[in-house]
Amino acid sequence: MKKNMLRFLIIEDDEMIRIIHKEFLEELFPECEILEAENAAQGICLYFECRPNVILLDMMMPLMGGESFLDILEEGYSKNILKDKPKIVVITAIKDVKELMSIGKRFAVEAVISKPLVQSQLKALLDDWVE
Amino acid sequence: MNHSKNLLIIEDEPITRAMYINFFQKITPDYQLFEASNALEGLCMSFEKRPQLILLDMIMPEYSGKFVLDVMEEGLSKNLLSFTPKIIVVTSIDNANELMELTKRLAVVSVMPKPLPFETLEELLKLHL
Repeated sequence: MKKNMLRFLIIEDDEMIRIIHKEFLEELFPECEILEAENAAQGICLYFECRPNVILLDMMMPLMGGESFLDILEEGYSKNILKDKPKIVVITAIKDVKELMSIGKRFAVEAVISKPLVQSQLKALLDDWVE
Repeated sequence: MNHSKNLLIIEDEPITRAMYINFFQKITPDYQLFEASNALEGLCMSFEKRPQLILLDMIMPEYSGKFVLDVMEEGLSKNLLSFTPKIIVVTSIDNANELMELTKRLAVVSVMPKPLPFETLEELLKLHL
């Protein structure tokens, strides 16, 4: 992934956390584009309309959780409607090991990081992906 | 905006879907038809094909038609969509309150009973296509 091609999508209902994620990404990659969604429905719309290549996904959100976002991507690729595979980083407060394991196996999920986010963990991941 | 001549049918029951397809092929031969067997596939197809009109079944296993309406509504109200589909909801729900709620949903132009009265649908299509 080239630095100037980076397009992030942050799906997170907590505005404070969204701002923290955003500032962190802007500092790391000043040229990147950042899209923000405050729920899974907005996340789905923004994903299909803008095709971000890296997605930070919160799992527990009111009404529509992160699960539905993973479900729709999985369905889209299995039916060959979607072609490009984004990199999804799930950032979650879920502590149950089995649940975390099963999220980790989901389509396009590259990493599951516990919340509150340790930024160095996310930075290490992104450094690996970005040229 | 919408310049597509695409129609999308979202219905989980294959026989019912085939019946709808058959009907649309006769009534709207100049439109391209797309079909989805569940709500998730239906949403993916909506974004990809930007259909002018969606025929949406409400009661489906796992994700129901409500999920499609929720996502579309959020996208339209927050101005995130580059297209505005007209949605015709098809449902066997007979609770009056629930039906009223459905007609108020964003992008829904009509709520039709199931089994679908094809003559009424034909009239409706003349209005919306």
